[in-house]
Amino acid sequence: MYMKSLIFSIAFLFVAAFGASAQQSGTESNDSTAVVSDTVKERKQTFRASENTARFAISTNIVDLGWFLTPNLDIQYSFGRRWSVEAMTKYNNWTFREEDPMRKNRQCSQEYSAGVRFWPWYVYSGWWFSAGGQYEEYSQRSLTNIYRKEEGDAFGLALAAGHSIQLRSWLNIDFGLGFWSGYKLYKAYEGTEACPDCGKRVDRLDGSEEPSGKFFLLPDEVFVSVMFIF
Amino acid sequence: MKIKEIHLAAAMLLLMLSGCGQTRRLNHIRQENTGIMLTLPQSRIDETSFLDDSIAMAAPVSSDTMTVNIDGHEMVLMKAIKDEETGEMVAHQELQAAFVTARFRNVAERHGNIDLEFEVRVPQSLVSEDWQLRFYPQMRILEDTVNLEKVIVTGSGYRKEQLRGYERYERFLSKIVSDTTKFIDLRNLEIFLQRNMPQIYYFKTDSSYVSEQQFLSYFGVSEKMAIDHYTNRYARKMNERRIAKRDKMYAKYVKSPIVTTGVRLDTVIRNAEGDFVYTYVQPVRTRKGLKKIDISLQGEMYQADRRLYSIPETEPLTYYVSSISSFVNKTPRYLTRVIERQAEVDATWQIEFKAGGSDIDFSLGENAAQMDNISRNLRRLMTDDEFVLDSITIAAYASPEGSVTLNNRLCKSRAGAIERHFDREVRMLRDSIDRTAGMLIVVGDDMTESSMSKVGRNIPDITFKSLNGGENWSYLDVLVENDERMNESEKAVYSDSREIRNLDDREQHLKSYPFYAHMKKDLYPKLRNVQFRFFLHRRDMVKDTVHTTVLDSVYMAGVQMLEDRDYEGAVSILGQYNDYNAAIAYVALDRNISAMNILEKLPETPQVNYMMAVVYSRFGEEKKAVERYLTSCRQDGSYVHRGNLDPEIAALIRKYNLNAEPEDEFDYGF
Repeated sequence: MYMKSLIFSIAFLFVAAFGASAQQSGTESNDSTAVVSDTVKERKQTFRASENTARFAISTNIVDLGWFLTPNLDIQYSFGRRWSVEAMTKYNNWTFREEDPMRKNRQCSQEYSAGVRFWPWYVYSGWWFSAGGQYEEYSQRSLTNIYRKEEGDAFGLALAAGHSIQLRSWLNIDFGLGFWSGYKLYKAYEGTEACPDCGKRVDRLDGSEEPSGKFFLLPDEVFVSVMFIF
Repeated sequence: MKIKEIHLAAAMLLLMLSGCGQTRRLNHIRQENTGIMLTLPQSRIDETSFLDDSIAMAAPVSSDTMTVNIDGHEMVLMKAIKDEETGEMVAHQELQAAFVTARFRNVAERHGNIDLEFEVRVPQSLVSEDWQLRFYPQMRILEDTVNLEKVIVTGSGYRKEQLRGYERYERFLSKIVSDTTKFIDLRNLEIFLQRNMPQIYYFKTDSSYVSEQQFLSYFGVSEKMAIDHYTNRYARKMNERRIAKRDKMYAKYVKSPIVTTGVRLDTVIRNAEGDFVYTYVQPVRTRKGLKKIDISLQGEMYQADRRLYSIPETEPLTYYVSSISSFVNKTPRYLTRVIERQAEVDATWQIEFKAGGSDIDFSLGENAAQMDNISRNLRRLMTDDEFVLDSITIAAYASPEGSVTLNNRLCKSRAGAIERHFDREVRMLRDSIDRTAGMLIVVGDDMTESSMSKVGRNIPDITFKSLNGGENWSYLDVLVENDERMNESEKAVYSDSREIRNLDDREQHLKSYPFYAHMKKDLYPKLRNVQFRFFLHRRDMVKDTVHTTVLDSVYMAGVQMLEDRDYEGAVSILGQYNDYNAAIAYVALDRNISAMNILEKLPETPQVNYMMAVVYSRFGEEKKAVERYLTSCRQDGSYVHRGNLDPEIAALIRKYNLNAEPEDEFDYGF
């Protein structure tokens, strides 16, 4: 549990720091000043956009919504032409087909991540690459074996890349693929029922309640997100 | 399967044969050295050519004759037929008549233009769907060779290929985008700008700001950078490349462009049946001394852009040019000029004198300059080549103020003063000229004087005469009349005062008028002048008048223009002389009535009669034309031949068969 809060606080600090720096740089006052540009002879009037133009973006991944109706939220803030910092959270605690024990689907998980995105051209336009830390608390039935279930905490480094298509000045649609690698502490169960904490423990056969740890490298997500920029 | 194979084989064979067929044709053409025919237009061939009929020429070879070799002896065997009269077997040889087509023709030049007509005849073997024939007629005029407009005969397949080439080029051109904004992703650009630089849209409509504006996003990205990012640079580069290689592509696709300049005819042959015949008419502007023009034809055969065959040059056609200007009469014309012995020169100078005085004061007014001018002119007249100065009369004039008698005396003394001054000067000048004269001594071989002669100008004595001009009232009359400041009433008053005979009274009368001040101040000074009259005679001329004849260069220039075929110029000059040459010029310009007016009055020489025949023919009065023509022929037989050269007469000759020879009776002598 403290693992969760640790990651949470790191992510928060991340965001806050950058937010603060962004605040500082935002005190530039200008909207319509006559600026003497490079060559002395030219006198151009430069109009710079205000600091509040298109800085924040909130997006939600439709694929996740479709995957067991997991609501998710991703908040981004641009602090440079090519950089934005993001924080994402996902929560799922629904049970499907509760009536049928054999086919009961339970996907309990929470996921939190924080990272940065690099946009080669400009924030919120075109290709992007992201890297960040991610923590997931999961309880998941194995895809290959319906009797096997795994639950635990995983944390690691997530990398993703994608392309953001501009639809409107306030709307993007974002496509991406990500994978992550890290360490997970988990317990695996096998049983005739799909339920949490029921069934035989199969990852550790010595009977202890300690979770086993493993390094992993897995595909993480498929993004088809709707992004709102403001 | 088998039938299919057979069909395939047949198809391939056909393809090969058709391809072969073309090549075989080409080879045949090359072997035969097939050429084209250049002929005079067939319809009018016997009109003006020297040869009235085709001449039958003997061809020595006939198929009925052969040479055989028997026992070492060569013998000629000929066909034998039975002679009807004698009953003997005689050798018989049929001669094949060969016809010669006329290769020269007479053309008449009219109004400075000659119309050349010829026919181009292309044999069917040269015409093909895939080929293009190009013919280049050439004209040789005097020393120039002029290329006339080409004649092009295109096969339909060739033309199709040409058009296809243009189509391909058009398709290439259509790929080129001229609107470079097409390469910009405008939609994305717009969204980007709206999102990141919304201030653009507030300022775009405000024109009060300076035109140099730059809009940046918050992170410093400018409009230009955004545009740059959202352009498809690759596509733009490719487009630019296409634009750059346009010309090369044109040359590649359009191998044989359709030419329209310098081409008289470009015809597309669909079904080649029979020979292709084209009548080419070329008007030519005449030149001086032009007697004949040669025309020949060259050609080439093309497929795509390759030349397959060069058609050999045809035999040239010759056109002999005849012109009305050959009738011109070149005898020179003279004018008489009368030359007189005596001559006079008048000159006026303004010499100022002190009031009441008659001494020449060089410091007064312009006297120095005027006296200098007089001296110079004197010297010039004295040393002139053509004239000799005999005497000089000097008259001094005065203005009306003062009494008449006083003025007269003053004038006389002033004239005398001037006379004495110049008399001295003339003598001094004569002495100086005499001094330059010398003796010419020719020394003989033995250094003895052989001859001695005086060299130099002989200036005879110049007599001076001084006159008193008196008060110069006549000149004052002229000055008043032309004066701009006096009005009509004042001038009327002045002319009325002329009634007063006494000059002093007249002056008193005029003094009372206000305009007298103006007269005295402005007009009187002009009256005080000195007039010289120089009497000269022509050197070495004894008789008082001499008549000489001089070539009338104006007339001769007009005649030259007529010879040079510049008819307009000739008429403008010769018109005023109204003679035979003027009539010729009028005839050349088709001004028949003016011509006839002159010709009627001229004596009836053969030339005049012939010209009248031409003019009558133009009027349409054929009877008179024929009469005049026959009269001229009887006077001078060469006009029989000339008649063929002028179309007006030639038409009559043909119509009335004027040149028909009476039936000759050949005397065979047995």
